[in-house]
Amino acid sequence: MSLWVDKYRPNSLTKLDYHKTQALHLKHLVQQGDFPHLLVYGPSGAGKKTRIFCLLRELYGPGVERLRLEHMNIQTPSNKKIDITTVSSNYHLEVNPSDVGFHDRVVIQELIKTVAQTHQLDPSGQREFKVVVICEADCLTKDAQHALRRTMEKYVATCRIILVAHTISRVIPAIRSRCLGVRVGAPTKDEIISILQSICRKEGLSLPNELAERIAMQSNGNLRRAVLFLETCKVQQYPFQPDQKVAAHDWEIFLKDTAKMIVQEQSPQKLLQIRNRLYELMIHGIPSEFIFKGLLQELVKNCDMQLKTQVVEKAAFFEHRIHLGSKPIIHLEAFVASFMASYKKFMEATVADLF
Amino acid sequence: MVAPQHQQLLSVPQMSSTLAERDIRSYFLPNVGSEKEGKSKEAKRVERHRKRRVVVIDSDSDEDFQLSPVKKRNGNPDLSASCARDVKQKTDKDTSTLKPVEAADVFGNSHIKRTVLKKPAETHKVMEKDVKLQLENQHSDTDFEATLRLIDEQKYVHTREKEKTPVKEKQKPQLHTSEFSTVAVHSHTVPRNVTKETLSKTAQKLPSERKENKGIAKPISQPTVSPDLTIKNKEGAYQSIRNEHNHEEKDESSPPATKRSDDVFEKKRQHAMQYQRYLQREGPKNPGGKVVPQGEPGCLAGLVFVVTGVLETIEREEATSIIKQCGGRVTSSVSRNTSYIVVGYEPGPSKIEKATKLNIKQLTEDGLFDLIRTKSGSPDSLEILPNSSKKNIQNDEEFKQNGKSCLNAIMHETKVKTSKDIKNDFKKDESAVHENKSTLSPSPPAGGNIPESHSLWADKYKPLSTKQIIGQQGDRSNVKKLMKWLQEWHSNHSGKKKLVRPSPWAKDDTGAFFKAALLSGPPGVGAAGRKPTENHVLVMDEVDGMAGNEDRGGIQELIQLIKSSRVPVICTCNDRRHPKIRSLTNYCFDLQFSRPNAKQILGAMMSICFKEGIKVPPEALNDIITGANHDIRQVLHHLSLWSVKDKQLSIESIKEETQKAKKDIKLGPWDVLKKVFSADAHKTMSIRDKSDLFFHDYSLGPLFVQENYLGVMPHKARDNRNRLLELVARTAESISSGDIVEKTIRSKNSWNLLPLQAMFSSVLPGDFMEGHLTCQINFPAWLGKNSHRNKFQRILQELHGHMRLCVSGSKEAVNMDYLTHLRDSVVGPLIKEGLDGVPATLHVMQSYYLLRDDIDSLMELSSWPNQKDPMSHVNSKVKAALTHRFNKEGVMTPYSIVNIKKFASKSNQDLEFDGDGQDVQDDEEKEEEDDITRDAMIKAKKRRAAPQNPASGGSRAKKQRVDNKGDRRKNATGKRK
Repeated sequence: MSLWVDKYRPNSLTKLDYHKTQALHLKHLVQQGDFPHLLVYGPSGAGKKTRIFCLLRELYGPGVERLRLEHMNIQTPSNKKIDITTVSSNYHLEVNPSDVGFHDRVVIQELIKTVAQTHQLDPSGQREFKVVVICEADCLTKDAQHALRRTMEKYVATCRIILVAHTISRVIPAIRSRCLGVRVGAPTKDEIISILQSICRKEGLSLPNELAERIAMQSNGNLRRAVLFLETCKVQQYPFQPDQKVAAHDWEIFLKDTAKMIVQEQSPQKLLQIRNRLYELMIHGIPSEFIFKGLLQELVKNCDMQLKTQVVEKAAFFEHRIHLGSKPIIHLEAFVASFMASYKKFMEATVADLF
Repeated sequence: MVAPQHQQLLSVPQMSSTLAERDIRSYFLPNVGSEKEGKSKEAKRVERHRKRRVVVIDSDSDEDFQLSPVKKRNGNPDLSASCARDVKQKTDKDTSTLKPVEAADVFGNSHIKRTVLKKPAETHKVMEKDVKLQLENQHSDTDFEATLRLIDEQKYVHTREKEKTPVKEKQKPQLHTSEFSTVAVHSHTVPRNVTKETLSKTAQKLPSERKENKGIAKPISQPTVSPDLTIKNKEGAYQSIRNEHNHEEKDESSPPATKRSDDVFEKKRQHAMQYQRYLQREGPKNPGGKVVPQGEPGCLAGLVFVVTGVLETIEREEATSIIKQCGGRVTSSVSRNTSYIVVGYEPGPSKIEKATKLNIKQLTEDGLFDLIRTKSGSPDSLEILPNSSKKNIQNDEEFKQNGKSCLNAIMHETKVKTSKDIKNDFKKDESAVHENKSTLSPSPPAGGNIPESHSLWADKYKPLSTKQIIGQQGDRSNVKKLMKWLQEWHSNHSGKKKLVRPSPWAKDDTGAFFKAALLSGPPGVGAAGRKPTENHVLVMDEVDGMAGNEDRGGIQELIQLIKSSRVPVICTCNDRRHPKIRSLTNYCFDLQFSRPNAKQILGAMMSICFKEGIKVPPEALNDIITGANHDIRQVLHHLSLWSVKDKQLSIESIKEETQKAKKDIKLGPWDVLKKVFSADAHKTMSIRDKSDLFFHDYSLGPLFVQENYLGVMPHKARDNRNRLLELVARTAESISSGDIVEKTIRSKNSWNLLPLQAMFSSVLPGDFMEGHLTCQINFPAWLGKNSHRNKFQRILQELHGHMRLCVSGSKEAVNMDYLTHLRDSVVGPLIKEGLDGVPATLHVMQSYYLLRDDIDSLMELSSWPNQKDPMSHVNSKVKAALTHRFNKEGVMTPYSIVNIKKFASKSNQDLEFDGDGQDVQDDEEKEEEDDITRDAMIKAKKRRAAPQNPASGGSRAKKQRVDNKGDRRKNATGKRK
């Protein structure tokens, strides 16, 4: 019994619920017989992987669904042995090189090259090329991306590369220009609602529209999250109530609480507590962008317009610094500290105005 | 003077040492080779004509020979004349431009040219005088040279008349010239060098030389100055200096000296009685009883003194130094050159006898003082010679003298000695050493004869006997132990005695069992200095330095050597706990030296300072010692370095210097942090000092700052919370900038940015938050948190790997979206339905290919502070049931799924193959599994997983068989392991 989110995942391009024109384009592309490297990008939970999988199925037929996990051992030039897990079928290989951290270049060079170098033995089979899906392409190091650039050109006869990324801003232009960009945008609220409703229909449940809307709101355009929320709601309480509470994720709650603490009191001691909470978030692998976003969204609620711009500017400043630096906590803390300083001033000024 | 006796005693090593100490310039000058040849020839001749003044030439200070003697001999008048013209022109030019001497003049070829000149023209002489008059303060090289040439010429003529060894005669002027120019140069440039050293060594003189010297010296030394005093005096001064050079050269003309010293040595032997008396001789009767006159420097210039016997109020060394300060020279034995003999109580009879024979004036101590007082009034006779240079020479002499005397002091208790007794002194020392260590041969006093002013103080004051080792005087000290061990070594290891390995805790261990000793201690305590030099001891220094490929197995080899050794082996090392040394310690008599305490060092250092003539207040010295972290060698180095600059070290300067020295000590990060934020410490710190704090540990320092800056109460923001927060914010921003710099440094290897990081990560935060720490300093939490984070990432990756086949999301998505839901759907049924919920849970686990362990991972990953672990709501019975059923029914783990799937597909294809093929597969599988999991659980699960495999289809039975087979094999291998 899989979760609904996996259970009701569409597996063909025609069955996709939104961005249907794009799906049609992709279908035509495949039917043409050949296609360039693809760079599929879009926010999390928009259905990038789903779409790619549909495409592969369209390309190779149901044989693609027979997946297996494989472990590869690769030796780096410095004689370090690295393990990497790949998901593959007979026709494609899916790999996430950033699993091995900064050794991802070796993965690109060795693994993908070996795959790409092998020709299809039986050209009477469906296609002359294999597909390599590279996940989290935007997390690849610059070295790896440059290594990929060459691989892409050299083995274009035997393999197609599909890159999956959240954002193309971290993909080097050289690669961007070698790929056909496919943007998979997040579904709209209505699309999410209709999908939720259809899932409920398939499950034989009745979903109040209000609840569906709230779930869609809270999921923030993330369909995966929306479906998971739906299921949680179902587990919590069925039949659904229109005013049913949609339980947020623990980390979201934690983040919100942290933001509240910042607004409550501004002092070095408080900052120390905040730091520990931020550490907690970091430990749980919440990306610093999310933390920044979450904090900012909460913090600006308490600010007037002038302060808002200040705070947003600060947030942008320090968020950028996170990417330049090596220890996100330092920049997060610096943001919180600067917010505290300006907020304290702001509050005192407001209080002074009152009297 | 004391020195010559040393030389007598050990003239040969001394000679070699002087040879070794050839002025470095000699290597840059042409004709070095021919010089050498010439020298050896000359040396022989010198042997023959020892009594002649010319002997000078054979000196080892051949460094300044510029032309081969042959050339000189054939020196054709025309050439020399032209040369003279050359020089004259040059001099004129020099004088007109008033050009100060340049290094090139000394080192260059022009130097040589000048020396070729043998017979300067008469006009030259006149001109010379003019020049001198004009340029009294112009210490031009040519000036000196010209003067010298003048002198030389006179001498030349004089000697020529005598018709003795023309070769040498001819060479002599040249030699002098060069010598002189060197002196001149030194006065301008290098404060101390070989020439001066040799100068200070003016010790041994041959009677003939003395005579001449005296004769020349006389005109100046007379206080009644003639009207045309200036020039004469000047010349005289030169003469005297030249003489000094002669002496020193003579001094170095070792063959005669050696011979002579041998004679003296023999003689001395016969005077054992006197020696005995000398030994019992007391110090001055009335030390400090008279006012010692402060003679003007140079007032005794040109006078040669001999001091004999015990003076009334001052020590002999003092007397010597007083005379030297006044520009006089002190020699050890009486010769015709001697101007005065200062006679004290119990004078050396031979000296008195000789003095009366030579009709030398005898002075008492009072007489000496009177002489100084009267002469002080006389005009300075050394106008030409630059005062600075003279002083330098004096200083140097003094330095030298001090060095000698303190060396003696080191060799023995400080005693008033006449020169002839020094040798006896050595003897006594030897005997003392013999007494001390019967098995040890005396430490050769060679160190005493190497020109000390050259050597490092650490070497110079290296303890020569066990007595002088600082902090090791106690009966149970390590040194004593070592001595005892050495003494008994041969008896212990003669094979007769049966030795028992002592318990490592035995306190009064003599180490009899061991054939080797391991001396260990921090650098500078003297672990290395302690080894008594001895013929039959093998000393392995710095065994912990054995490293690298060249020394591979070195320790093992050493141990083998120790095992088979027939002589005691002494190894020294700094770090005894070093893993490399550990194996060695089992075979060694372990003697650990610790740093002596400050008081012990202080005493020794004070005495050395006294000997070197440095005045250091004890408090300052204490500072130095603590500053150097009780490292004696370091203290000595510091002292010798600073004393070069200034003999009188004031407390302030010492404080300053120790501050500098202290910087070299590595502070721990805690101390660094305290200093970074402490307002008190900042008062005395420059920005450079602050940034240096960062460099104590630039990887950990910033983390400490980041961790603890919130615990600082900045003094700038007292009672002002707004200001406080502002400061905190600025600090945080600065730290964040520091992090960016660090990233750049690490990722791009741009280590030159470190100072920038120092500013951002340490100096600026310290500046903003300058104040005091309000809470205790914490170790950076970042390190722990970071590793915690990495652990979570690892678990997450594993989990994601397991779920990967059925989940489209990335690791991040799994973490942020799936985790809670998955956890709820796994744990929910167990909480709600108890035992009945187990199948539902198992179903979820199965569909996501989760292991039992993954549940724990799930719990860990999804747990937040102040949240209760959902598993704690689950009844333990239910948990047990879950585990039981999980194990019984099994869930296909991702890995077994991988294996089974692969296996299934393969076995489907392989069904027709015989057992061999399957065996191969089994092996493959086993290997894979060994790689992937070391978890015993997988085996158990796998056995059950196989039948459930939906993909298995018809080949089910077959597969199971193979599976079991694989398992059996695995068990077997497990057992083997």
